[in-house]
Amino acid sequence: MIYIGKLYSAGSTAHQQVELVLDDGQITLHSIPDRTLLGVHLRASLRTDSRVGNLPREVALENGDLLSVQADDVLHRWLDCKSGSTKTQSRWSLSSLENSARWAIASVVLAPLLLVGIFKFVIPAMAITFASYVPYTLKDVASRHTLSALDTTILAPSKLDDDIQQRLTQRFESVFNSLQLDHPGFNTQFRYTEEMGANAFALPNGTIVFTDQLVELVENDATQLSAILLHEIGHVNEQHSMRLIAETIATTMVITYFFGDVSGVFETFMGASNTLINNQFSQKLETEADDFALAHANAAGLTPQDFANALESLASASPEESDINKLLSSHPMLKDRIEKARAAQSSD
Amino acid sequence: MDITPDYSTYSYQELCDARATIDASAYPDRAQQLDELIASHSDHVTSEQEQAEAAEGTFLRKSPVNFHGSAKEFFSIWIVNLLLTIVTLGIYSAWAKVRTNRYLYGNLEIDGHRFSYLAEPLQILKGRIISAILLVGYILAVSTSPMVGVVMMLVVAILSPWLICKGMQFAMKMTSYRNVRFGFTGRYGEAFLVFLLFPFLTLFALYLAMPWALKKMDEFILNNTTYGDKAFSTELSGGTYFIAGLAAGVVSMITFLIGIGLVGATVAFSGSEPATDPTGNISIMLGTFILYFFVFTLASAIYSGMIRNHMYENTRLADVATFESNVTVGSYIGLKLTNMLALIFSLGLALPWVKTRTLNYLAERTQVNILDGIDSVVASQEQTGTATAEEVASAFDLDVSLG
Repeated sequence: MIYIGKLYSAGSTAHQQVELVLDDGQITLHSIPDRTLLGVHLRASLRTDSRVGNLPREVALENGDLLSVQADDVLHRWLDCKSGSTKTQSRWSLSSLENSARWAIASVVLAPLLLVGIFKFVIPAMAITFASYVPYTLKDVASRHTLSALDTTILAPSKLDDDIQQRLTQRFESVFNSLQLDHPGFNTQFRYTEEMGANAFALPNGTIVFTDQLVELVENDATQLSAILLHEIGHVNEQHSMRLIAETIATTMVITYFFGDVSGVFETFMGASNTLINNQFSQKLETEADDFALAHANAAGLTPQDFANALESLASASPEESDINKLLSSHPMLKDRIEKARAAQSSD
Repeated sequence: MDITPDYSTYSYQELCDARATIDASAYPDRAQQLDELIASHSDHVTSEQEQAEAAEGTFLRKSPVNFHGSAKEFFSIWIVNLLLTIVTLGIYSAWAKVRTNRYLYGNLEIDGHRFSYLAEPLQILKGRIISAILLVGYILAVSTSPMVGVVMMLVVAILSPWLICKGMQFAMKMTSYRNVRFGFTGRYGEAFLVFLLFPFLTLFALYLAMPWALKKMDEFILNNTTYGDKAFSTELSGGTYFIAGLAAGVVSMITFLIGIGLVGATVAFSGSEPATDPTGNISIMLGTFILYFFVFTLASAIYSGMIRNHMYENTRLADVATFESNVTVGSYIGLKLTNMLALIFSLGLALPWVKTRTLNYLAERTQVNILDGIDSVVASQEQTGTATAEEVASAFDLDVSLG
């Protein structure tokens, strides 16, 4: 077998056309056109990378020279055959997978399915494991830092009357006590804020913050606020902050390392998918917190209907939703949540 | 007394001054003598220039840039590697990166020779593991405490010039052409100025000096890139960067205003009241989102098309090569917009097609003038770097690219 290739000298751009004769265990190189003998190289002394697509094969000679040759099947097989062994290697190789239509079609089907599987099951399961390993002291420090950062930026001291605050705090205490939680640090706080509107949020150490606007929205109704408190307790009890952090990290890594190599074309596209995926995770956690509230309503001396009422109060203050919110929002749609609470009430 | 000055002792500049001030009608012979001397000097000057040019290499031939990859072949390679990456929970991504790059580099040909990507998967894997650990630590720190987050961001910012230099160094070392590797010689100090300080300072000029800062970045990258023992050199014009920035800015501003008008009109005509009807709000949101994509693509196509042409024309690889690029803004916009649409409607599956077609487009519009130093480039003997910095840089989104 005779092939034509290029021989690049080690350490410089000098090169020449060569003729390459393939024997059983060696190749012989002659210059073109004067046919001077350039060298005989044993197969065992050659180094070559695996085949990719239809690229010319690059073969490193022991003296540092580099041979580049457009190979046919015979040469590919000769090069891929492990040094010294006489039997041809098995047909299996990366490039045969990459060139196979069957594998390509299988990949088009399987890759998206497996990706969905990873996002739906593997990452959430890993997040739960991760959350269970985070010690309470770390969550406590993190919560304190977060609250003080919020206090210096968007939160201000509550402007509610002291007696209202006291009455509500006592009611919340009774909810905590009735649930017999094994989590140590539950407590409630009130804050005034321009930016967050009617809202309540939980920090991972068990601090739950209500905004003045929320208290005013439900007209100081301790029952509705307690129902909302149950939802926030659900977040703390099931370690939702830590799980969300773990899920965010995992999503970022999957997108960076699975799709990053061919990027440059579509950073915006990747950013958008990251947001959409994280919204799905967040919605799932909200649903879990709702389920917690509905399941523990009776124990706290409330009914699922109280939770439905609280959500309706929130709905009255927020703009209407449409189906696109399912993608663009971090919370499930209020109307679905209300319906679910009502269903829980009637099945009681 | 009327003594003729000894003009032969005059310098070129002094001769010109004397000729400009002399009264030629009163002293015609002196004026003529001056003219002759000036003429002999300019001969001398041009011959010096010619000599300098000759020393920098004579033109041998013009070579097109060819990309031999096909979308079909690349799609198959990409999707199979993606599957293997998913199945191995990301471990295989290092091998996938190497194979993908080998395919793309190896199909790029100039003057009858191909490029090669030389990185080993294990180098990449090691880099990825380290960068993943750092990324996890960083996100954890940022999300547990805002204070620690601020400190970490500062640390990353201060380290970023170093990461960029090391990353470039690895990327260049892993690229070879005709068995000789590229290299990168940029150092922390200058990188700190170019990537951190200058962009920060433009803040005080309301970003008006941003084109100048971008010019500095491109110059830094090009002037520090080497091929074997030869260095790239470039001198870019701030004016072109300002014009490109201005063109991109004005066009996107006008498009945005027209677009906002269109979105508003569509919503008004469909008869919904945005304040009460949720579908009205959503169409405004979606419309604005699409508009944002459109304007972003438009602006980047205008800017990078213009800058690419300018950069190629003003860059030289010692006595080895000069470059030409003739990307037209209209066709480049067309390319980028269709790329974006294809990606969205194929849910990302068009990625390999987008990649190969973009490389084809750019290759077709690039020419290399080969100079006679090409056959005598000698590989420089330096240590091969590790992939860690490159991987960390790309995980923290610090990748730099020209233009």
